[in-house]
Amino acid sequence: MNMYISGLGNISAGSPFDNDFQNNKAINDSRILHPVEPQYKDYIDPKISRRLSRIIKMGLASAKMALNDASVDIPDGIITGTAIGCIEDTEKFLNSVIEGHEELPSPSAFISSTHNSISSQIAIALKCHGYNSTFSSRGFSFESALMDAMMQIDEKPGLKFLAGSVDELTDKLADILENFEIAFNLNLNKNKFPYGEGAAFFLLSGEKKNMRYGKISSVKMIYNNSDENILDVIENYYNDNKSIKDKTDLVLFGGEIDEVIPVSKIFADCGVILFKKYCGEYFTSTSYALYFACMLLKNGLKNISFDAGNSTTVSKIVLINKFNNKYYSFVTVEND
Amino acid sequence: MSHRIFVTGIGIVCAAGNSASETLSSLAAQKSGISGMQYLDSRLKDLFPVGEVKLSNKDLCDNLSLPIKNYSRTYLLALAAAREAAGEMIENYNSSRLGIVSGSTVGGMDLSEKYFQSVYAGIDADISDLKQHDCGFSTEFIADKLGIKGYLSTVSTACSSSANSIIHASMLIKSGIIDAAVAGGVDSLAKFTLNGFNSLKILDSKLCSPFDENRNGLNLGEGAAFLFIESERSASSHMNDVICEIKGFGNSCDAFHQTAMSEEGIGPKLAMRSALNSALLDPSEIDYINLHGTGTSNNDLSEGLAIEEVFSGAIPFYSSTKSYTGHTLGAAGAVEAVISALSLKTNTIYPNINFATRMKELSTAPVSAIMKKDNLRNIMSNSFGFGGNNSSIIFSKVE
Repeated sequence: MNMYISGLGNISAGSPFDNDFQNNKAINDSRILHPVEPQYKDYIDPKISRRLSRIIKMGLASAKMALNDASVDIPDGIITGTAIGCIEDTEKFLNSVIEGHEELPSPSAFISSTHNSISSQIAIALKCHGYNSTFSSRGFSFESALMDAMMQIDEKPGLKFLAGSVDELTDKLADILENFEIAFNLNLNKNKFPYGEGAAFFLLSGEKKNMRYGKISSVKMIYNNSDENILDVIENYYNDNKSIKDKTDLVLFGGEIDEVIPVSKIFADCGVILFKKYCGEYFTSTSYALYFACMLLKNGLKNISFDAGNSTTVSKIVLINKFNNKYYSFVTVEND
Repeated sequence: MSHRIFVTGIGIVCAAGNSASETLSSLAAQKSGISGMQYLDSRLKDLFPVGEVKLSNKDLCDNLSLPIKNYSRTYLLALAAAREAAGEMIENYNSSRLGIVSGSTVGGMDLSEKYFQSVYAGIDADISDLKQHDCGFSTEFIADKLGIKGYLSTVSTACSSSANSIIHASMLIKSGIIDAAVAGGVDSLAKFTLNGFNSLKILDSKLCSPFDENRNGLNLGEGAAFLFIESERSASSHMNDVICEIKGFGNSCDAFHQTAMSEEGIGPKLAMRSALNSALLDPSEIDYINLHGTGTSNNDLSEGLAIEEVFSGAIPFYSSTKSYTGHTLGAAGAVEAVISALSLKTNTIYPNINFATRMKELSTAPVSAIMKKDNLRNIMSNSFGFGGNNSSIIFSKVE
């Protein structure tokens, strides 16, 4: 099963191709990596934009970018992954219920609080009546969207699917996540990436003529609650699937700093990049890694530095992400 | 469809019963589970009847042999239904070929409300309450409890969440990614959703009367329901009794408005037609439609007009069983999938209760008296959600 990528849109904290960003210590030391948001009026009718929350604007704008990039007006289906969903409006409505003692709160925040309002607003903007779904599945939210698109495209290769993800971070949510870490003693002694947020959408189809960046040749999610070492999980997966590992040029890795050298070794000392340095840690960060991989396949490795190993050419990239030491995902992107 | 998907287990906890057999008894007795609010602590308690599960969280923990802890009601309901659906047989499956796909709208909102209520009142709030906030938590907890390792995912498409989780799980089995899955969904009653629907002014202060000319809104419910589904090969190699099969499904988007449905029901028509196409069935072969039928003015009109167009000339029998369960939001698709399976099993169409007057825009009325029907072969179940997420699934007797 191959899915060819013909367009992409991305809203993220920064780009690895931007030296200022790489070297900006103030950004790298911050608690939250906020994305650089576009001029929304370039993508969304300002009259509509005013009524939309930030997460919906990020989702809709990155979806439009992907469609423009692929020169597609209306896709055959829209699939979004969002683990936490529209948290700003959820907080707003919950507050008005609690602080207003359930005295008829205004419905507007409730209406746009549901997770599927992102996919829905994209469909409304495009008048797209095709397949439409939303996955909210912790560290597999974006990966589930990819898997769903892959199964539909496998059945009908001519279909064009818009698949992507968006998650937003509010100050309140960042406080809560920080309190979790203290309360549950998580990650305290690890090299920790800032919390992140962002959106990325991709235009996917089963026809090779539509390949402009590369093709997604495998998507695998492994849920493992056994406290097994991540390196064993990775090694076991690729031992069982040697052809998926063969000829890998580069690994975009969503694990910890002290795991990069062993990961490079699993892949014959190829280059490994810790992609969360650029986008921060969030539930759907694999979509940023996919965007990153597409840019590398298109533009090559010029000015790219590695966190371990080394790569000189790039035509097959493996994305490995882990979330909460339970959710492991493996995506292969290549351009042969 | 290239591969057949068999339903070999069903599980349900809803206002109409704490198991499939209890729910069936309520349906057969035409007894609604909608009543005054007993467990949720809300100011709206005396204003709106609800479809509450008639068990406290402590009862649920006891039934599940769990320690009394701060579990979200969402998880407890989901685990009860998933266990009933998967039964003992799950132990005979290779855990890495087994998946779970669940659907939910507000996840563990009951505990999030408790946390923020405590913060607001200035009393000690336990931050671990928020660990169960997201829609994905209960799916993960159930996977751990049942030992499911092959695939895990959670769908959140508002009121069609669990219909879409059944569709996604069916696709996974058809694609050969897994052999069998626990597929369904859950939502527990929360102030968040109760006040949300109240702010939209679509809650009926009396028992709801779907597809009635004088309908006045929906009754919010809660519950969980799961199917155990598997490939034909898996079902036969495990020698499981087959309850029915998933013959086809369709998903489309109304793309009209975030909460309202287009009057002509563009999305519902597309979903029903695409389900018929995928099942390779002619509209005349559908014997009964289990409606989305919430009881709101907007839904029932759009759904009714869409049915008249898709099935023009030969409109099947139809009814809404939300008059027994209330609208269980993310669980509704799975709740009605279980009821559809029970209908096929018992050769019976369970009627709308509280129905009095046919809608003036429609040429037909819902089934309003219990109906035995020996040749009940194909049932369409509709699930339509906010955001225009419309899905239809066709359940059929296995020939």
